[in-house]
Amino acid sequence: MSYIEGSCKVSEAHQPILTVKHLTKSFGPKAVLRDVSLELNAGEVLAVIGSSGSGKSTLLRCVNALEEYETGEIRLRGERLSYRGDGSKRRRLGDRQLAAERARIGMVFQSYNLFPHLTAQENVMLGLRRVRGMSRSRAVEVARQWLDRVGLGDRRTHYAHQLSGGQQQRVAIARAVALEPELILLDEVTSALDPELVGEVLGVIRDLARNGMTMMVVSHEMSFVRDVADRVAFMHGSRVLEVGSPAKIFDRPATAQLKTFVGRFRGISAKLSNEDAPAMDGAA
Amino acid sequence: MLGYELRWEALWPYQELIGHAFLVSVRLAVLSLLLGGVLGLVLAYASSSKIRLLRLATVAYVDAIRNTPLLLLVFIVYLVVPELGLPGLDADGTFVAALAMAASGVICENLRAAFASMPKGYLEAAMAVGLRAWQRQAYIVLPIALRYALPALTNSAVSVFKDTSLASIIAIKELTYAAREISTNTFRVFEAWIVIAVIYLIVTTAMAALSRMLERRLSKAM
Amino acid sequence: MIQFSQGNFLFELWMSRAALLDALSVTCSVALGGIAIGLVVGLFAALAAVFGPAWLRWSVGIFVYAARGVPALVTIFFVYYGVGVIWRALPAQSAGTLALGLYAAAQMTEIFRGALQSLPRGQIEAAKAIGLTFWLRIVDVVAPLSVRRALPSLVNTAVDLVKASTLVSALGAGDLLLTGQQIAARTFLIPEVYLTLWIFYLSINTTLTVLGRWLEDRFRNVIY
Repeated sequence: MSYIEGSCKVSEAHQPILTVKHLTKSFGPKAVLRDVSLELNAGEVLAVIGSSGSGKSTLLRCVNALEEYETGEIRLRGERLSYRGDGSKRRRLGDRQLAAERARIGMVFQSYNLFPHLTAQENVMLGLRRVRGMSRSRAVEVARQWLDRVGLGDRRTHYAHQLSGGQQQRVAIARAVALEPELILLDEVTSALDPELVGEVLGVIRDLARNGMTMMVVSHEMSFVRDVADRVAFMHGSRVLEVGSPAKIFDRPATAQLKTFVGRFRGISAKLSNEDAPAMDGAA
Repeated sequence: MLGYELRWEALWPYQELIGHAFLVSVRLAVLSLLLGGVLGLVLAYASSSKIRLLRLATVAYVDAIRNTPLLLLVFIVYLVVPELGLPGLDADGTFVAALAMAASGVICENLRAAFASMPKGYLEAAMAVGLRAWQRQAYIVLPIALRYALPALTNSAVSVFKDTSLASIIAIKELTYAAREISTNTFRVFEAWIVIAVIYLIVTTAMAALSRMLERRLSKAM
Repeated sequence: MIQFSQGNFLFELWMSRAALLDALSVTCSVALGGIAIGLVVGLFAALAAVFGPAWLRWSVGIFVYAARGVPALVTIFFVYYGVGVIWRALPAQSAGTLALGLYAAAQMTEIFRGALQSLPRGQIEAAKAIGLTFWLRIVDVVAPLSVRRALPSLVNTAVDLVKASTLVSALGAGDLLLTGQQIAARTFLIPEVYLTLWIFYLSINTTLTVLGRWLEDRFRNVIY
């Protein structure tokens, strides 16, 4: 299952890789996810869009168990994640099992979160050695390959503070995909970047997508979403209101809320066609 | 407590002693803080002087004083200074001088840090308005720097008060000396030391609380 | 002016070498012992304060409050006389080391606690996200980052402890200060002896201070 060779983006028919069913979560009195259901197929890029506070990031964080949720279930290749039992017997899994689940799901954060005491290479190697049990020499080799792949081969002995934001984020992506997870979650990965650095990161993501990586992407970069996503889910007020192809979502929005949301980008999107011009998009 | 009964009544006759001792401690602390504060302020300005010799001398002094044990400093002032031909001080004067010197080192560093972390914009605005150098310092830089330095200065003040306990070693009748005296006279070791410890705790807590109140009132203006 | 009886002084220093060596060992063991106790107790107390149940967090809080609100000298006397009453008389040096250990522990608890609590959540989340289990997260991320952050402050506390070691002379423990005083009183070579003592303490503490600054500088980019 190496993503270094290209593979065609045909989903393996029968079973979606990830199913989210009737997820609800509240932070105290405030409902953040209301009966959210979604599916993600193998090799597919699913983008989740919506205004701030609509629950997009929380949804992502529930998938890899960084957040707890009250009801609903998430299944990876049919296996239930994070919890077992039902109703009053519902129990969250222990740390060891959660860790094993998380190793199958990659995540890239908005604020990169590179480990500052490790070099870029060591950041990527940490999971390879500790979780995949690779030997040091093999881990170095694999880390080097991935850093080359994201264009940072010559910077692999640099520390986070010696790298620009875009470079740090690319290392973070390498760190996530080096573990060869079944899917990766991208949580607004360009929102914290200076405009001129956004393109290099989007380029890497586009490359991964082209090679068949299964992804769930939360983003404000609308032209990127339109270009790269296979399907788009629109969230509003803690619910999923619409799901469909980019063409349907952006050109033929059905609900009023989506029409308003898309309307904000319409004038700009029309000018931009399919290029990445990140500075213009998505200041939601 | 393992065969020891607390009998607080034993301390009753020593109320006045403790009261006097408390005042002595306070007096030592206040004098040392005032002297040390002024000296620390002077040093803080001297450390950014244009005269290289002054800068170096100040930094050397501050580093030396911060790395010297206070007790050693007290003895040096008490015993060595008279040997050098300078007028000797009595026990009280010696202690205040030594503690003030130690405090000046710490306060200097507190103020320097505050000066450094203050946005340059304030000084530039003061210049732009046409204030002269001493006015800029007196009306703008110092008041603002003192606010920035308040938490650190409070810590220093609390430390100074705690350091007055060393005066007991040169037989000054402050709180710690009183505790030793009482415990040797009455053999009520726990009662004596607990009472003195509580007094120190009350004072340090009160100082910290006052400082927080002051910080809150000042932060509204900033 | 000062009469530096050079020949006399060095002679006296040499004659007292046994006593001075003893004194040096006392000062070192008090300082190092206090630091060691402080590190161990401080680390565990900090872990308790961050991860422990409410009553434990509360107890640590009381301990830190009491140990920091009271002068070191009072702690020393309290331990010396207190232990002497409820258990048996401790030698002055041991009481002093224990008391200074508590003094250091209170400071170090706060330092470790601060380092642990200010660790950015994102670091822990990233560690979770790549599948590290709890102990691996501690060993590979939490501990390395917390220690780097705590180190400069810990070195400062070590300097405090070396300075505070002179207080055991108040209990009669033969540290460098007390022994020096005795030599000075005996030989009347007061400025020489005190100057030598001063140079000694200054050397140790300046070295430590420089070390602290170097550490702060070295870890500037890792400290959050």
